[in-house]
Amino acid sequence: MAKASGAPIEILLVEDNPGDVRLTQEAIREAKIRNQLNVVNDGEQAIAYVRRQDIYSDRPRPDLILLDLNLPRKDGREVLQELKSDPDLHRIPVVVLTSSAAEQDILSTYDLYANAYVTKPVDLEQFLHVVASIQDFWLNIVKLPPE
Amino acid sequence: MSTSTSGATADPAKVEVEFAPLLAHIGRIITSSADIDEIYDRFAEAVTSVIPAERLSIVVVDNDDWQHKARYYAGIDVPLATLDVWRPLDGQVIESVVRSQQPQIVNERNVAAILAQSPRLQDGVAAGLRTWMDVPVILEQTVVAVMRFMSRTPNAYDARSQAIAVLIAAQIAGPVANAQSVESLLATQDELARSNAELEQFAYVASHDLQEPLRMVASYVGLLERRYRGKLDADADDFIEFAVDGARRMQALLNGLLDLSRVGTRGRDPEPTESEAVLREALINLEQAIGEAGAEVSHDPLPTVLGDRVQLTQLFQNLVSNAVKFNASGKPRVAVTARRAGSMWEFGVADNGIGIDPAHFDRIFEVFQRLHTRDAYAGTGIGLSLCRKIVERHGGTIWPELTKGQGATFRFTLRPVEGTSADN
Repeated sequence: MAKASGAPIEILLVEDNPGDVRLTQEAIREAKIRNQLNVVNDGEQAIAYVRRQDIYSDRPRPDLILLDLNLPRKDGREVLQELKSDPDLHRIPVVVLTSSAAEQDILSTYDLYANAYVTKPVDLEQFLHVVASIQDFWLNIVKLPPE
Repeated sequence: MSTSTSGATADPAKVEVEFAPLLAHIGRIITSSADIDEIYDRFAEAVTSVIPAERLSIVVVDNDDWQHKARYYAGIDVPLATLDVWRPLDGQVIESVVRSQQPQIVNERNVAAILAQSPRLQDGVAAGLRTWMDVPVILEQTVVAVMRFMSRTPNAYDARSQAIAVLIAAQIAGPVANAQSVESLLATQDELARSNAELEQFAYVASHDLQEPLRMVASYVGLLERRYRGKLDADADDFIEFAVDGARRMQALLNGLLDLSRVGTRGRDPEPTESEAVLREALINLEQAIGEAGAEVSHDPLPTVLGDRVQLTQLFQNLVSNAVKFNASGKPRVAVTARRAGSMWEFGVADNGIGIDPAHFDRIFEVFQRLHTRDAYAGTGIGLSLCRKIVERHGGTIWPELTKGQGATFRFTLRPVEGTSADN
């Protein structure tokens, strides 16, 4: 675990489709990794959350952000740009998790310094596997920067 | 109305002699360019030097569908409502010219009656064009077009100008009709290409956007199956199984449609491609299916062809996969061959499988058409449609061969690399 204290890993999921939110929650549950999944439903909420503004003032800083691209109000690319241009936030790994497999989306998000780009697999088993792998890689294998 | 200006003759025979140089000049103009509009411009300049007109228009006539459109106009810029837009002939002033095959002159004497018949001509009249002359352009007893001269000068046209115009009309009838059939052919081709592109785009968007909700359905029935199989009752297990199976097949169909629509929209330019390497790649992709069936695939030395490597791999893969799948022999054997046939390479994929009843030859390339129950042979019915689309995009053809003995053989042609420049 990247966190020595034994505190649960904090994941922020930015996703507007309730079906996908629940599916990701279920996938994390199936993966049986100890963590705390927090969910916001649009780009503005995502920015407010990581900056601990308003109702998010007592929320912990996320260790990993799972970001959908097509979001209401402020889309995923804008969120990415704000995160990566903010010295306080730019070290938080951002995994873009989207249904798009378009080359243009892949390129533009890496250009905005996304840490990884993952297309949501259509098949359930593969989706479960992908979510488990993301968690395993970012939360067990990788050494994250100290806060 | 046989008054002629300045005492010049209106006798057709004499007019023909008098204007022989003009007609010869027009003859040269017709062959002076490949650009029809450029020819019309030069033509209008030559004609209006003899028959003064503030506006000269050429209206083409479609006798099959009884419609007309202004193809060209020169002179003052009053908007022409029918420029390049087909409109019905019925009730138009021009209709009587097309029917009678006779010229018609409109002047102070009859302009009021004509305007009552066709109010749209008011635009021209408002611009001061109170006089005009319609002259049919006749080819093989059919009016293929009408030349319309319009003038601000009252009673500008008379029997003499009409006689000249009739001669000119006879001179241009063939070329006007030819130009029109070329243009309508090009328009049909454009229309066809656009409608094909639209259809592909539609299939792409439809299948792409349908994936999202389907992913939800498939994921959640999948979760139901994972967590609750054997925990409810036998009915529930059945229902879940049907739902999971339905969602899985729908995904396969949508992916097939996406693949099909991408052949046209996402294809790469053909380049020299070793078909033997392409076949090897296809066989690697099919390794599992070939292994499970215990199949044996042999091939001739295969040539280098002009193609999109990804699509050709898909083509070989689908054909070999079918050959292995539709096979009850216990030891499927597939032979891939190639031979030169005229200017093309002709490939064959032959198997010792169940064969295809020639009665079904027409159906097999249709999208979603299947000859067998799902229990007997799984599949979406897209594979061969995809093959045909790929081959046709490469300028070849694909067909099943009538086999005397056992098995099925598909043949298809692809372009060779040599002679590429001539082909393009």
